[in-house]
Amino acid sequence: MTTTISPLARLRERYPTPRLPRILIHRGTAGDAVDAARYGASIREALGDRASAVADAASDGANWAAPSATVVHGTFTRRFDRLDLNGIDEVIACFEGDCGDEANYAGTGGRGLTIRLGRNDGTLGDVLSQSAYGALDRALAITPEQLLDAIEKGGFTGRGGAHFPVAMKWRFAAAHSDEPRMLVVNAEEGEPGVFKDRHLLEGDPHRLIEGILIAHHAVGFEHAYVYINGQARAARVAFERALEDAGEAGILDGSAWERSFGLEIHLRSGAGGYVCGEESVILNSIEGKRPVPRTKPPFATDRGLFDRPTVINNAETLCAITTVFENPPPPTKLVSLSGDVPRPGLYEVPVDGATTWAGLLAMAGANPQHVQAILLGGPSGVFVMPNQFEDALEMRVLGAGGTVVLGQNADIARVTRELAAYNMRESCGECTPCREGTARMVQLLERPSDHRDEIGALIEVMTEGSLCQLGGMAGRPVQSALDQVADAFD
Amino acid sequence: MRPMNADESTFDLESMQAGMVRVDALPRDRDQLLPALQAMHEALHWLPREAISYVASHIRMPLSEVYATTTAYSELRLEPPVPGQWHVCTGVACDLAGASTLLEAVPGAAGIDCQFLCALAPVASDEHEQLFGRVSAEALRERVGS
Repeated sequence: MTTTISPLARLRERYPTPRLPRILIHRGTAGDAVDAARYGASIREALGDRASAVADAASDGANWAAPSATVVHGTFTRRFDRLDLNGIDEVIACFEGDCGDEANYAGTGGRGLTIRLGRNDGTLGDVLSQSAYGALDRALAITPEQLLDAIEKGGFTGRGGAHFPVAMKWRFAAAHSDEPRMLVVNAEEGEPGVFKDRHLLEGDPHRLIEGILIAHHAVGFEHAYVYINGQARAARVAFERALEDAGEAGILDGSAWERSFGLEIHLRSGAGGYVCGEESVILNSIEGKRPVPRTKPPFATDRGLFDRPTVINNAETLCAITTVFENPPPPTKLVSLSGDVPRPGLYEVPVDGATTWAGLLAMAGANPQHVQAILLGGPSGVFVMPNQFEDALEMRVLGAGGTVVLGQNADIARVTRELAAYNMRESCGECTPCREGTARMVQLLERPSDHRDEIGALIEVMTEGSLCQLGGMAGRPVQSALDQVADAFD
Repeated sequence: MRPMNADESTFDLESMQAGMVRVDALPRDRDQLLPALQAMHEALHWLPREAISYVASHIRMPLSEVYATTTAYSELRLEPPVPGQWHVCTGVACDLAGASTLLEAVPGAAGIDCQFLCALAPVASDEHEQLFGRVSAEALRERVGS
C-alpha cells in the first residue's frame, strides 16, 4: 500500500481552514444594497480585539433576510436576519456561546450547488474545507468517456433555459478531436427577474472554475471564455480573485495533480442587452462583431467561436456538474423568486416530481390563495395560473428559473404591456419579424380585444421567422395572458 | 439614429489619455473591440466620437462598424452622464413594489430597466450605479436631494 498524500489533501494542508467560531457578514450585491457593510463594521467594533473572527461572505440567497450575519460554531450555524430591525447584541451573544434555543434558520433549500453560498469568506482554504474541487479530483481519476457516461447517467441538462442534455452537447464537440475546441461560459444573465449566476459567482466562484475544469477533462478545450454580465461587477471581482487563487495553487494548470491541463481561461464582460444572453450573440460579441444572432446551422458545436467547435454552457449548468458524483446527483434548479411574497430570494428547488408551484410558494412564505399568477421566464415567459399550482415543477418548464409572483392587486395587463415594450426596446433589429413584430405588438396591445386574430398571426410569424429566441419567444407572455385572462385588458 | 456628435463633445482630456493608455495595452485584434470600448468607457464614463475613433484605429476596423457595434450595447453611453442622476428600476418586481410611485414622488429620478436585484424591490441606483434595495420614497427623496 502506498501512503502518498493525495493532491487534494496537499492543497488542504497548504490552504488552511479558517478558525471557528466566526461571524460571516452577508455582503455581496444584495447585502450591500441594504447597508450590510455598516452592520459588519458595528459587529467588528463591538468585538474589539476579537474582530478577526468576523469575515465578509456573499449572500446565501436569502435576500429577504438581508442585512444578515451568520454565526458559525463547527456544524452549528445560526443566521441572524434583518439586522436593521433586530440589532447586533444577539449576534455577539451567539458568537460567545449563547445562541438561544432554536436554530432560527429559514433556508433557501440550498443543499446542492448552493451549499457553500454565504458559508465561506471567499478564500481557497475555506472552500477547500467545504469539498471544493473534490468532484474534479474524482473526475480526473476516470477517463473522459467514463466521465461523459456519468454525466449522461446523472441526467444533466442545460440550466440556461433550453434544457439540452449536457453529455450530448459535450460529445458533439469532443467528436472534433482534430481541431482546437472552445468553451464559452454564459454568465450574461440578462433576463429580467433572474439573478442566480450573480449569486453563484459572488458566493462560490470556485464551483464554476471546478465545473469548467471538469468539462475540460471530458472534452479537452484549448480556450474557455467566461462571459459575465457587465453590470454584475461584484460577480466579476469575485471570479477574478478565485481565478488568481486557483492559478497560484496549481489548480488551473493542473500542476496540483501533476498534470498539464493546457487550458487558457479568458474573462469577458458584457455591456448590456437582453439579446446578449442568446448563445450565438455571445459568440459575435466575443469576436468583436455586432452583437446580433447567427443563423443556425451551423451549430456552435461544429462551428462556433472563431469558427472552432464550441460548447456554450450556462454558468449554472457547469456549477451543477460538480454534483455529478453525488449519489444520486440532486435534481435541483435555481429559482430566482421575487414579487409579492414574504421571502423573496434565490431558491435551490428539488425538481423531483414531488415539488409543486404551491410548494414553492409555501417555501417563500406565500399563501397560494393570495396569488393571482406567477410570471415564469420574464419577457419570454408565461403566466402560471392558480389552476396549475398543484402541477409538479419540471426542469423543461422552468427555463432559466426567473419567477415573479403577482399578488391579488397586480395588474396582469400592465405587466404584459411592459414586457412587450421591453422586447421592443431590446430587439437588436437584425431580423424583420422581431424588429417590426415587437413594435407592432406594443400597438396591438393597446386594445387587444379588437385585434385577437392579428395578434395570433403576428405571434406565429415572430415565432417561426425570428433569427433567435428573443423574437421567437416574445409572443409567449402575450399569448399566455390573452388565453387565460383576456378580460384584464378591457 | 442619433448623430455621433449630439452636442459640442466635451470630455476630460486626462481621462481620455488614461483611456488611450489602457487601449494601447490591448492587442490590436478584432476580438479586443468590446474590451477596448469598455476601457474607454471606464475612463470617461461615456464614449465621445474621439474615443470611438481611437478604438477603431487601434483595432484597425472601420469607424462605421465600431460605431454600429457601440450603439448595440445599452451600457455604453454615447452622451455624457448627467451628474447626480438617480435611477429607479422599473422591472416587473420593482413595478409591483411601487416603482412608479417612487418616480412620481422623486421627479429628479429616471426609470431604468431591471437591475437584477428583484428580491430587494423596489431598487434605486445612484450616479455611480451603486444599488439600493427596499427604497422608500422618503429615503430616496432625501438621497437625491443631498
